[in-house]
Amino acid sequence: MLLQQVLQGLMEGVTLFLIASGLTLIFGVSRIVNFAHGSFYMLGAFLTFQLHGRLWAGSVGGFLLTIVASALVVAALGVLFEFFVLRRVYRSEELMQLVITVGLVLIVEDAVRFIWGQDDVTVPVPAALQGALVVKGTYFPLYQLAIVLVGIAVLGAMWLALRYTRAGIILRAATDDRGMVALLGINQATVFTAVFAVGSFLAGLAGGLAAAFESVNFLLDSRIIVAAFIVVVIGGLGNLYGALLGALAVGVVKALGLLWAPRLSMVLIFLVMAAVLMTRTLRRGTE
Amino acid sequence: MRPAAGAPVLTVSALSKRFGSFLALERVDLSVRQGEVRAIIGPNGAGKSTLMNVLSGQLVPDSGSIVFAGQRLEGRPPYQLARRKVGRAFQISSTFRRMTIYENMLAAHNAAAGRWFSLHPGRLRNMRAAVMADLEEIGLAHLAEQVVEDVSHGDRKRLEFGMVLAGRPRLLLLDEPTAGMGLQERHALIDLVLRQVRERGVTLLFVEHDIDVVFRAADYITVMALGKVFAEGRPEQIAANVQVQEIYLGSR
Amino acid sequence: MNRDAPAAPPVAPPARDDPYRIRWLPVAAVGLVAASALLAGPPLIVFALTEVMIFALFATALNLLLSYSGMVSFGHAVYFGIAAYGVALSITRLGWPMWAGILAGPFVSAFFALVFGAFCVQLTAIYAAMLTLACSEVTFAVVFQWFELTRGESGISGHVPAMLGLAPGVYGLVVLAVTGASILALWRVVHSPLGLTIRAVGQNAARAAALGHSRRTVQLIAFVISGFFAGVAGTLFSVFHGNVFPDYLGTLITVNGLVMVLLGGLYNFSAGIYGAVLFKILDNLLAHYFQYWQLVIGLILMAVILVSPRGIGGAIQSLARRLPGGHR
Repeated sequence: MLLQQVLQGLMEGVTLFLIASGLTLIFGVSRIVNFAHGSFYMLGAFLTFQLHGRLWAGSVGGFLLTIVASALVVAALGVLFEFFVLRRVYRSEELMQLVITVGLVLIVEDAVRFIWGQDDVTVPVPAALQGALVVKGTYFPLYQLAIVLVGIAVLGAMWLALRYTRAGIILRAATDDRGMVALLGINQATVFTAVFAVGSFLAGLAGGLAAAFESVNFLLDSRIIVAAFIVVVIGGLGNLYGALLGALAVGVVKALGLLWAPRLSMVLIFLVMAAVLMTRTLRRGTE
Repeated sequence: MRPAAGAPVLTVSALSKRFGSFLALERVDLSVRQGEVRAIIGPNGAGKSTLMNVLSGQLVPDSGSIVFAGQRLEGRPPYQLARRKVGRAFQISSTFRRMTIYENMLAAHNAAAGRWFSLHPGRLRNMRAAVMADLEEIGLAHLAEQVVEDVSHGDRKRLEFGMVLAGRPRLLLLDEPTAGMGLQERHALIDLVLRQVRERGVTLLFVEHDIDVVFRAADYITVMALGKVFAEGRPEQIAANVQVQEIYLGSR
Repeated sequence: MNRDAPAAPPVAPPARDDPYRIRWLPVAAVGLVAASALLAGPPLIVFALTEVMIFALFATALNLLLSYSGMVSFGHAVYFGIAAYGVALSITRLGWPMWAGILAGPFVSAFFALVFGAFCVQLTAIYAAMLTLACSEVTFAVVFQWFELTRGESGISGHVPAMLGLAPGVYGLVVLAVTGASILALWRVVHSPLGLTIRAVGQNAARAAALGHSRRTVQLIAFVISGFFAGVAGTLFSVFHGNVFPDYLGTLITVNGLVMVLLGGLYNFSAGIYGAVLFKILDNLLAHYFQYWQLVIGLILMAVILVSPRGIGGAIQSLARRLPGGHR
């Protein structure tokens, strides 16, 4: 039972990592706290629902393709938002940026309600992944294992990209020192748009993956955004590896919490976050 | 150039600061007299800004002490230093950009007056004359109602300087006060600074890259290199110091 | 520089433009209109107006933090709701007389604001904001789960007669008086030396520190004041309905409050008031005819930031400044 919950926790942790990594990347490079990130996640889930069954229906490959396709659409929408709206507030105060992204949240929420209604929609797990792996009497659902694998793959791809591709190196440099990157002749605006595209892609991907096990409705964005922020804050804004650790920690704590103290699991996570924040401040001393 | 009068009022002993494996300050000793104008110069990476940041409380030194007017200052946060009459202007001018010039100066007076927690709006109204007088002195009275965001860089620097002075500091720390300014503006600002400092007997410690400004203003110069004090002396002594010339030319 | 020009005497601005004086005429006018609406209007209007006033106070208290102190509170409802619980529990558990219980409400909020705030001001920016959220969520969970103390989901009712047993219009006048006085008190705070200190710390903590202000101390003071008045609003609301539920501490109230402040415009004292009115109009009127009113709010928020960063309140102020009669 415990191992089962741990796997569940890891799976949720992986999806949390995907969305949190996008959030932390966007902040790391463009210093934008994107409250609309949960909306991208939600759109990824709904689009997966919408496109489901149209591409190689029934097969795992088709399912994966559907998820990736929805994530790409979400990324495209993200780019549109960044280009036409977000660009104008990069130089504004953070509170203004907050308002803009909150505005998007409200718009997307109602748009989703308009298009797909208020009820839950379900995305069925592809047949090949519906079973479970049975080891010594414990059930390990195949879909959960699959998600963890996808997570590892994405993590690996990100690591490789950040280390060895030109784009990745620019991204790391931009997180460290935006001004320097600009001085090197790289168009800062393009970097910002690109990182927003990557970030929203990751959020959409997470949404698509989660669609099969979460209840997908127009309140999905508010449910996930708080957890995503907790993860990012625990890991440190802009810190990708911190986001990984934070996501896995939150996922596992939540799952174990559900097992041992179901009514307190969310509170537990907040307390963990509070503890991390306070110890980090105390260690740093003077600001 | 006046001969520095009075006893040492600021004594820095064996001040050290390292960042990871990089030793930014290595056992720096400094002794500044009351009312003296001391310039800190040196090639890039010499540790001048680090020294300023430690003196103004932004950084906590690893070891060493800072004693000003009999009080130990090292490790104290900036707001405590300000209350002990140590004034500081930032390298990149730091003001309240959404407020007007008048409000900025008013904020400085409000802080210096000691009753910043009062709930009587009347107290602010009563400061009007003093605030306007200060603005007159730094030549910004005609811009009093302008929002600082809309004002020129040079004016912002002057405003910041005026705000620092409103606190009646006894020790003034300036980190590259003329950075980013044109030649005329530079001389104007440094003249303003000197005039105020000499009138009020304030001890001034400033970091500068512009040698012109340094020789114009300083009573005494401290040259830093590689985190240590390299040479000290009156301006003419430093100018004649061959080794000082070398460390500057050598680092080009 | 200026030495060559003939010295001009410092010029005082005309009294009309002195930002530290309240323009009593518009304020009195609004008050009179509200009072007559409360006394003469239909019950629907009376209820709506009472709620608007209560939330205008809540939003104005939140605005103190957002627009002036540089802190964002993601869980301000906790100070709204805990006051209500303070009232209920002091009457039902401690046996206090009704009036003592009602007066205790805001002080309970202030206490919680002091405790939570002490932790939150140790952090800055988004980290501090997330901690305020944590405080709020944890409190909500405790209130919701601690059935023996708070009766959980069922809430507490009957400890105070709804609207103090007064006619709706009369209670409305009570609310008008209390919120009016509270908002004026907040106005005075903002325009006092303390307010200037808070604004300085909020805009540029480093420069404020260089002037001698401790960011943590100043922000904590602002937090407690804000919490206190949020508690006043919460007390009024709870007495209005004669009950208290965990939802009074809940996310919906927090989010509504934030939206009200943002709608009303940042960096503007009246943001909370304009925002509450606008929100009520959108929420009640628009919602009847157009169920996607959230989208409208979202569009308004975006449009406002892109066109006039100082929000609707700011736009009104700029407009009013151009009128000959002076401004609010």
